[in-house]
Amino acid sequence: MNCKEVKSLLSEFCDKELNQEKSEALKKHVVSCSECRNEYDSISKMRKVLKKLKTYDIPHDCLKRMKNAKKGKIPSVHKKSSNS
Amino acid sequence: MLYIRKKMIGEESLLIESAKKGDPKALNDIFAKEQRYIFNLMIQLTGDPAQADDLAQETFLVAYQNLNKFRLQSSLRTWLSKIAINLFRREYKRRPKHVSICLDEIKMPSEEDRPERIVIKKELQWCILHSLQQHVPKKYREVLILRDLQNLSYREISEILSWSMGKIKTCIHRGRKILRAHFINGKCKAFAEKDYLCICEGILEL
Repeated sequence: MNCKEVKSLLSEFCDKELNQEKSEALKKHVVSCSECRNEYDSISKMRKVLKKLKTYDIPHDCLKRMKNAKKGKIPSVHKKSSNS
Repeated sequence: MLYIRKKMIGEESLLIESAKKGDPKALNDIFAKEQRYIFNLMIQLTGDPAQADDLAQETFLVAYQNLNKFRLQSSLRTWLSKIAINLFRREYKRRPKHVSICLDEIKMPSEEDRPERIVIKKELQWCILHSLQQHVPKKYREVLILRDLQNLSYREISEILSWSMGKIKTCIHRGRKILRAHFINGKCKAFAEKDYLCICEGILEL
């Protein structure tokens, strides 16, 4: 596996979406190539930062309106949609 | 693990079938466990809590109206996400983009100004979202939100967006590169320098 190929597969590798054969080949390359290793560290860091973003509690009013929406009542702001 | 997942899908299917037959408790149960997910997805897509509130409600309304058309070929979350993304796209075309702060416009107050630091800390949290919304093209943004913020698999994202796996892989990779370049160009040292202890006191710190 060369650097170009490795760099194009790093995101998939970080996401564990790469098959075993390619993962092994990529790992082997990253251990010996500092440039690809830096790129790997950088993508890993990016994923960790995004995953650390907090999630929000639903405001009480919104929860109430969602409950109404579930009963089929049209919310106050938007009109009825036919999306599915 | 696979057994647990199959069991969960099985239970979900039973509840959905009951909801389709008009069981109000089943309807409440299936939607209740996805409320927080849909609300947060909408905040991440819009960057605007009020708009997220409206769109989350509308997602459940549309889901309610179309529940009989749901053939259980995907998980409920995937189906709701598809509705949510379609509603967001419709709204995005209609409304102008709102102005947001950028990393290079933020000046961190001194250590003595604790309350101000807390406010800025929150802004930085928003800044990550705004960077996604303002500086990452839409084509890559939705994929990144679904993958990196909502932790959905490539397969689930492919179902939600009706894109090929190849397109999903390419867009995740390119989207991450663009976002990372924006942080580095915005002089976010947490990205530019290895092992840098970040000024935002933990949000960007690894």
